[in-house]
Amino acid sequence: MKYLNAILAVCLCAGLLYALNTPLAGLPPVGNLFSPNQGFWQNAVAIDDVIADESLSLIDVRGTVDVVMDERGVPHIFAESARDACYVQGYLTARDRLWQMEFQTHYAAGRLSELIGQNPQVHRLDKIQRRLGMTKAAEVAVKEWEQNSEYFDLIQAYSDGINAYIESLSPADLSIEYKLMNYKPEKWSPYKTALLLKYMSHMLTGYDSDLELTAMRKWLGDERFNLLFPEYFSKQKPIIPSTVSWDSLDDVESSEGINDLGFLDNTTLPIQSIPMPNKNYGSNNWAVSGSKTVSGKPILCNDPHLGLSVPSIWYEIQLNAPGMNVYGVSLPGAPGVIIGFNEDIAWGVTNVGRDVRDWYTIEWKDETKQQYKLDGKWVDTEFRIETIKNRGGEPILDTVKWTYWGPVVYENPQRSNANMAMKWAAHRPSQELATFFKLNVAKNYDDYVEALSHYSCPPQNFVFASKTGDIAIWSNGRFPNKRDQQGRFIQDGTSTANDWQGDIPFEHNPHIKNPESGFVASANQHPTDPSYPYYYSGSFADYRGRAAHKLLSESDRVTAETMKQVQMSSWSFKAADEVPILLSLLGDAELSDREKEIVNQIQNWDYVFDQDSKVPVLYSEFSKNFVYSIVDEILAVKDSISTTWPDNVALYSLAANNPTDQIFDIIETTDKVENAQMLVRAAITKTAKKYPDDHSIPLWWEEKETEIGHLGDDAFSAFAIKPIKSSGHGSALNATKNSWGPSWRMIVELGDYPKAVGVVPAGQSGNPGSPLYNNGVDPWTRGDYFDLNLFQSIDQRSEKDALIKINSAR
Amino acid sequence: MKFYLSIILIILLGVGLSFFLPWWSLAIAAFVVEFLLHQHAFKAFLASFIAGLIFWGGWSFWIDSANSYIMSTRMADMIGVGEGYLLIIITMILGGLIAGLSGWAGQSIRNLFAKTSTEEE
Repeated sequence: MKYLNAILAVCLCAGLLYALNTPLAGLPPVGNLFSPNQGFWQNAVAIDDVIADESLSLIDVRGTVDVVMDERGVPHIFAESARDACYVQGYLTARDRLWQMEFQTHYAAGRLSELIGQNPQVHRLDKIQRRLGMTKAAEVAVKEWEQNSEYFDLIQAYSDGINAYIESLSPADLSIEYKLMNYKPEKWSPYKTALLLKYMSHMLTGYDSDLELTAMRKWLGDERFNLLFPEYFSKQKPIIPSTVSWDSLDDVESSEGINDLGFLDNTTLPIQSIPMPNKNYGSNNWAVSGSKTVSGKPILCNDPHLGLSVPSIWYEIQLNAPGMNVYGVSLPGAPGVIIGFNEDIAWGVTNVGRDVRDWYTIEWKDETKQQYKLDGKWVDTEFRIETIKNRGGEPILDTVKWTYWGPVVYENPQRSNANMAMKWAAHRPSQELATFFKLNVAKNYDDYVEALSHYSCPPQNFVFASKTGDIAIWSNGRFPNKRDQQGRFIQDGTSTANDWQGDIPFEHNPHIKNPESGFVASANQHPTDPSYPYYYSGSFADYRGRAAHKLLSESDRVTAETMKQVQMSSWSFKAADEVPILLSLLGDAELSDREKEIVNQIQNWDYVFDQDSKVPVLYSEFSKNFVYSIVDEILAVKDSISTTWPDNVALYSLAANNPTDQIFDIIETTDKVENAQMLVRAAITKTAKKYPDDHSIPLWWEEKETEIGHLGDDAFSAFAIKPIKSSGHGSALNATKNSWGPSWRMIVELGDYPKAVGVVPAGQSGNPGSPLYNNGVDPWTRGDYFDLNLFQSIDQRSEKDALIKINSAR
Repeated sequence: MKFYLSIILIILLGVGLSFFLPWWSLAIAAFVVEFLLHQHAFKAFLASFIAGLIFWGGWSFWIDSANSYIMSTRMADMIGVGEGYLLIIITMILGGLIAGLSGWAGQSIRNLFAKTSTEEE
């Protein structure tokens, strides 16, 4: 009896323990997950202990370091050397964001299958990252960094700081994502920092429409193509005003353009382009000179529009060391401050939409792909075998073929021109971090320009203001010197004559200092008007740049408060342009009562995408219906060729100027010829049908459905912050869309001592169990800001802040 | 008396071991205590169960309150159980079962060596 008893008890007990220790049904081991000593409960931070005094001994700190941890969890690091400051930056950033840092760099390196195995979608993502050459690009970057020991020491120190944290981790300390996905962090290295920067490069320069534009041009013919896809719109307000003359660049040779697509056949081009980042990622920045401000000193503003996420892409920090005192946002995974200010200057960035990634067709000698044609000869392909580890399964192998141009990204044996290699500026050796380290300690305009001269990719519009009263903007990067139309379309990769021919000298990059208008501004629009002697193409937003120009021209007696209103402006030039055209095309057409009501509401609208208004919903629906009916011929061919639509600006100006253009004909109705008036008429009917009464119209914020998603996407949707009640539109300065928007808003008033405010729509902590996970969201939504304190010493801390004393463990 | 003593000892040993060992430290605590104290099988199970319940339930309740329920709310959403307090109940029951079965196993092994089984006491 007692033996039976014992066998039963032991078996039950062992069975339970085994079951609780085994990952089941997508869950990590349940025993561990629920145990109060190591599971998710350990990630529930006691509210009273979120910010607390500490003393730490870290192995590689050389001097002593004091850190003021302010009540929002922003570290203010006071170190005896820049090296120690970066070391502690690494340690503290990892403490708040390690999972994010690893996840982003795993993603960049095409290693997500190691974490999420047996998932075809994830395999595909990984394969694409490998084919984009992200790992090779990062290796090239590290080699280049090693040449510059002063800055490499800082990058290495940052990496050592991260590793000091990783080594100190106990299982209970692991962030919740590790526990849920059941894996452990690996060591950090400068290579991972390089991967992060390549991840940013891809996010910001990884969008192009070369394939689509090529197919559209072949399909439409040159004349129609040029009408529908103009490179420049006349209402555009370029970053460098048209009044600036480029005469000083008269030594620029204009070489013959590359414009012939005769070598290509649409039926052999790929139909589907590779997945690309959101083309609408953009930003606003501007600086207003003292002549326009109440204080008489410049004010600088920046709000980068990136994916809205928890944890945020940004991590706030202050770094203080001899010769350096800087505050701003950093990228978790990279040392230094990316956007910020010090005691003398402030700077900010927006993306330059110039195309720095081009596609070249590859002609293989035979199916082995060991050789390809170049300048009439067969040249050897370089094979790089990529091993994608696959959690719980066999590794996946992919051979990436590297050519003269770069990696072959498109490969399709059925379509001969579907073999295309990518030439991408991010593959070239570069020193971006040197630029930021130098900006962190820059004292004046000359220092700023010197810092910028080291910068390559992703190209950014660097706005600048100094306490001595200078304002400036440089549309900066290392730009290939392209011939007319070069890189706008797919190019013939069998001839090196089609390659980039050198770079545009740094000094020739578009820039302006202290203009008469009293402000400089950028919002991803064209850096210059077409008179700039160098050719470039790309993806340039139109409306926000014009809105910034209008609002800043109209403002005088500028203060930080008025700048907040400009950053929060949800007034849209898109609506202001389109509504009058729609109404005039509608003319006095006979309308139903409901249609009249809708038209009335849109007519009386102030073009503000206010969260609580319903008119933006009506307008969006109306405009969308109109545009969809215009591009019906493009929609009809989307399964046989790669397509893209003309910009709304082009379509609306055509509707206004030539409403009988053939594009307004509906191809389905062969018995009649439609015009723009008829399409607008039909669009309002469709709108009225969708919204038969005002109750059926959602509020704008409900329609827009802004949410701040978790970086791990659907698997962590419970950690997302939603719904977000906010105003805004992609075409307004407050460019808040469903999943992206101002990821950091900053306003810096320069003067004897800088005064700054800012807000991130998330929080410092990446831990969903911390009150600092999302404490910025509500203020951000309301348009409130936090004070950003550039302390001069730790004694300036308030009672609510904590002090962390760090000394060397040696 | 052994009954209450074993509850207290399991909790104390469980707390001590939890600093060094993973979640199954609770199983060791219950096993060892019931092995040493040697009481009736059902009492061993029940005492261990109650100890696990109090230990894991109390600890998670304490953490949850100090955290203002931020984490439990998000995790409940994550796991799909709706309300945060349900996670405390799940944690309690898991703690109870882990300790209960381990305590019973400890008792039953001890029984094998005992001259007189607790059944006959």
